Amino acid sequence: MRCEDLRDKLTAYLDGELPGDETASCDAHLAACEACGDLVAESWERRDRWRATLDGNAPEDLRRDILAGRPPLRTIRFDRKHRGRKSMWTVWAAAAVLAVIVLGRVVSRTGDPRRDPGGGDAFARPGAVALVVDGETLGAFTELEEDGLVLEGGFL
Amino acid sequence: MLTLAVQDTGPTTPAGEDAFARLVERDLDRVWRFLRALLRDADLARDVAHEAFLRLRAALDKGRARVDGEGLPVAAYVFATARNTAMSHLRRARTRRRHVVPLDAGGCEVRDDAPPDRELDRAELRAALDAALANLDEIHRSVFLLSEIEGLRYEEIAGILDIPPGTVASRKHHAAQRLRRELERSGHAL
Repeated sequence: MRCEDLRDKLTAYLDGELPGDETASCDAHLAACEACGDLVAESWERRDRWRATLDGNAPEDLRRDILAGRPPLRTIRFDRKHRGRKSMWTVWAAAAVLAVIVLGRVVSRTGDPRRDPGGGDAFARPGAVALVVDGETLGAFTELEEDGLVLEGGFL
Repeated sequence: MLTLAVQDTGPTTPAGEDAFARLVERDLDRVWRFLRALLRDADLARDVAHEAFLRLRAALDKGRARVDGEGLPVAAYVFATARNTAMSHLRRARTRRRHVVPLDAGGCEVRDDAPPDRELDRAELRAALDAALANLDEIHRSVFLLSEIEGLRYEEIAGILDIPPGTVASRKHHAAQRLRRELERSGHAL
């Protein structure tokens, strides 16, 4: 085997995708050719760095939600022009959107939410909905009253 | 970015069967890593991984998943589900003209045991690699991630992407070459 042959097969060799006889030919060439040996070592090193660079674990709360069989978050994202402290109007807007979503769900599933607050819909169950802003849980829906939905939390 | 999320926090079904728990233990990290690099959006990767695992759970429950000797879906089936879920999200996002935000460090859990300077080094390299990956089309990116990073066989990747194994080899080669060139150009030779 020549050096050019090995270079042509290098990716498949590194991936363990060559047939046995071709792998054996590459191994024999590498045992005798220092330049190709360096090339292979460099390729392994590059792969290790790529893997280390892209390494990471899934967030723990994602793992918990999946194992508990919870549905994915229904997420609405707002872009802020300036980073920094959350402005109050954005938080109020978020709370308003949440209220619309929750009430919409409750009304659409149960008809009159006041008659059937437990109604088989998770959204109609007190404590079943949380408001999460930037990953921080700020409040939770606690109950349905005559004049609407009660949201409790530090943002109100 | 401000994120508003509504989540059912009440109890739903009990924790999945033993097989599903083992599947999550075995594959969630790799699927999440793959999706984060494929989609270049940690929040979206999270949503897609979540949905993909619920699909996998349903497939396991209904006996639709191709399983290995331990009764867990084979890696090719898991990654095919993850990629198909991602493609569905992207199609829906295009329809809605959803704004996709660039990946930032906040989407990644930093390991506590790594020294700070190494983390900084890794974050810089990560940004460069992410930018280089962004210049590959989706198929080349998937081939590269599934083979080079996740170590799947060409035949498995061919099944996931519905292309011949020979095409996997050539696309992997081109993707790796292009990434190397782009990283060298940005001063991050590997």
